[in-house]
Amino acid sequence: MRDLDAPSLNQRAERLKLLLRLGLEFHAEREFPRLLDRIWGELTRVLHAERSSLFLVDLERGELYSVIAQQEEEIRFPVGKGVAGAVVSSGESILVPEAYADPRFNPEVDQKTGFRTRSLIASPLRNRRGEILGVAQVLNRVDGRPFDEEDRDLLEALCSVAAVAIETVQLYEEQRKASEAVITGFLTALEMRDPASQRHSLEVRDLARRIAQQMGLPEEETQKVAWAAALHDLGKIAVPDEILSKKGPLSPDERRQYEAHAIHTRRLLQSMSFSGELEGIEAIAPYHHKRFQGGGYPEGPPEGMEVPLGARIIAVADALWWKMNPRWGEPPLSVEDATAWIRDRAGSDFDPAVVEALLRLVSFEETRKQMDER
Amino acid sequence: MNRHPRASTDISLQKLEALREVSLVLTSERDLNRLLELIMEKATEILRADRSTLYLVEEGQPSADGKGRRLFSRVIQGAQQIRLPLNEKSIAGFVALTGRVINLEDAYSDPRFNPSFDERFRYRTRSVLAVPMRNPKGEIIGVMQALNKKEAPRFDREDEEIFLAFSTYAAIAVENARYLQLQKRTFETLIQGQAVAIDARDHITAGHTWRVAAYAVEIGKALGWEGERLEILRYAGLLHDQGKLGVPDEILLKAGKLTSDEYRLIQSHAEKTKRILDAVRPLFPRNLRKVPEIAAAHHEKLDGSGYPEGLKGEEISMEARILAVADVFDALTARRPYREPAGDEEALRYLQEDALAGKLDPRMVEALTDALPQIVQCRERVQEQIRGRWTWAPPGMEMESVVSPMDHG
Repeated sequence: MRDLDAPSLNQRAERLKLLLRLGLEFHAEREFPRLLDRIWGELTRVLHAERSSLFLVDLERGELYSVIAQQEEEIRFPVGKGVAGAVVSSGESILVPEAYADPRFNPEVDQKTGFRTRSLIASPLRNRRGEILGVAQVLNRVDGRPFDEEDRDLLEALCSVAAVAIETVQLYEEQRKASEAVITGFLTALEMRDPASQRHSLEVRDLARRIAQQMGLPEEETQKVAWAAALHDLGKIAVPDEILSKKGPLSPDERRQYEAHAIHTRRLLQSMSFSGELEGIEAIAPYHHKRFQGGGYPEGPPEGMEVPLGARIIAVADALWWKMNPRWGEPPLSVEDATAWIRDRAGSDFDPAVVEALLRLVSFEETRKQMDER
Repeated sequence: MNRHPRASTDISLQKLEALREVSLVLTSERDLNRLLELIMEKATEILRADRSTLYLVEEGQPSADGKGRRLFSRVIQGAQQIRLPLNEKSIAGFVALTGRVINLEDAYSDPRFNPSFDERFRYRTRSVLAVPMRNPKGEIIGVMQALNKKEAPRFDREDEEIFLAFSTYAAIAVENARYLQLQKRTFETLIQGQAVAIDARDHITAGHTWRVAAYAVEIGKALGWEGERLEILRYAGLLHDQGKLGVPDEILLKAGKLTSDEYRLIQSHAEKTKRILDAVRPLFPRNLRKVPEIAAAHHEKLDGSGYPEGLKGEEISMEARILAVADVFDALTARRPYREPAGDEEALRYLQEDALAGKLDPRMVEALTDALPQIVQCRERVQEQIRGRWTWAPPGMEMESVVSPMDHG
């Protein structure tokens, strides 16, 4: 008795260990695309499938949409349609040994992709409260034989691990979006008085983030720099309308009032008590107009290398943007000319290490663009 | 990933099943406090221990020698919190620093064991199993201890393996719950930051945003609301005037009563708020999706005479009705450069008239009346909070500092 059961017991133990290990790997992921990629890869590998797909439920539209499938474009279909749709309606896994003999099978996708589905299993991705988040599907065993009940059980077990990880990352994403909403509201409002400020702030943020990544800053620091960049012009809420909206060159007095935005940013950020990813941005955001060799505004410390790296990064991103999108009657520069302008000021206005990173970034993107064009 | 202790073949199939189940339970709990309780409960259960303790390494910058940081027990079954210095003199400290497992049959035979806790909690520790909690990066974030193995003199090899596998799951669940908490804090402080900016932009009404948010929550409480519903109300209160950030100076900073033309212009800025709303609505996650709607509807009146949409009756959410009452109440009772504030009683009468006239919801006015003592407290708290905070006045108007006269209000 014992001898007969031993191999299968061993197999079960191995399988459980695999699931435990995969659980840890899934739960270590915090970015949605990477998690999905990982789950999708494991589905294919563990189930010995030729292909696999992941669908998520769009509650508002009552649809399923593919997040990862072999074909690039997104597939959407109503809940109830096809095998995956039937899984959502019934809440049960569906094992299809012979696809074209099953009325629930929808051959349209095969027709589009040129793939020939023989056998498949689809299982619900269900969280602990029993809600269905999506469907995981594996197609065609690589050894040519149809999927069986054992494969189905394995897929189900894998799905229960994957679903919890998906739900966790969905919560992160929601929280990120909520923060993004607050920033968007702020920038939309600011833009009503300060033309182009929304695009400016968001583009400077993205550029600052990419420079920070290029410089190899840790993820947390990069995120902080991005937040500081999004809020670097916060103080403009206290710059008079006529200065913000002026088209021509500013008089010295107007320039002083304009430059005061950096001080206002500092005052505002200092009267906020930030925590989480925003902690410490008051030491970064106000100093995006300080010069590397000293000077710039606001007056007083910090100077030069005492200016936090994040501020030195934002300074470069901000200057690049203004050179390409000037407001007071100057001609706009191309990205090459704007970069060259900044390069000429490395060591005087800007931190050479940051400029270096910008140059690498620009040349990298240039190369990529050329490759895309080819 | 190689640094993860893996379940080895020592673990029986039955225990592996239990571990798998527990791994799903732990990773599904995203509330940190509940999670820590749950970890201990499951550890005790799965190891057949009498009780368990969980220590976390204090967050913050680790110094090179680990000095200055402490371990603290977030959860001890049957006792209060303990704080320990992070050094090798205690069992938990040793495990946290070295990453080694300690498995003792008799705790009292080990010099690192500190019997004073037993005395304090009237407990008798015999066997101890302590394992490190490693996060996916391999860093030790805490220590778990199981005490007094049931029906056996000590924990065995299999227990060690199980506890290590379990602790890895506990660690990742703790890290993920902390990460979610961090992101919530980010959102929370960002939204508070907006309130600071809104208040700063309009020096005449400094404090208004905070008061309206606080009043709305008190009204909600008086109606018996709780939890997320109050949270939504608070966020909507903090954002209700976000449109002010886009209102031109000449309107916003007019020190005096507005002419009817100017009043209309102010109303047209409700359009701006709507534009903001349209920009942010798709970004709010499902549970907070109502926030921008509520914020945008705080000038709507039940009889349709409000703005910007002229919504009527049922079209206006309960939350927006609360916000409307809170907003009017503060507008009446706050000090303005051009008039004395109304007293609370007078303001309440005004609200009641508006309710009778079919503009405000009488239930919300009544709830505010019930909550008046709390509302007065909120007002004092906000006053304290914004004291000395910077607000913006345009050049030439700085001397009319607004925060100081309100100190008496």
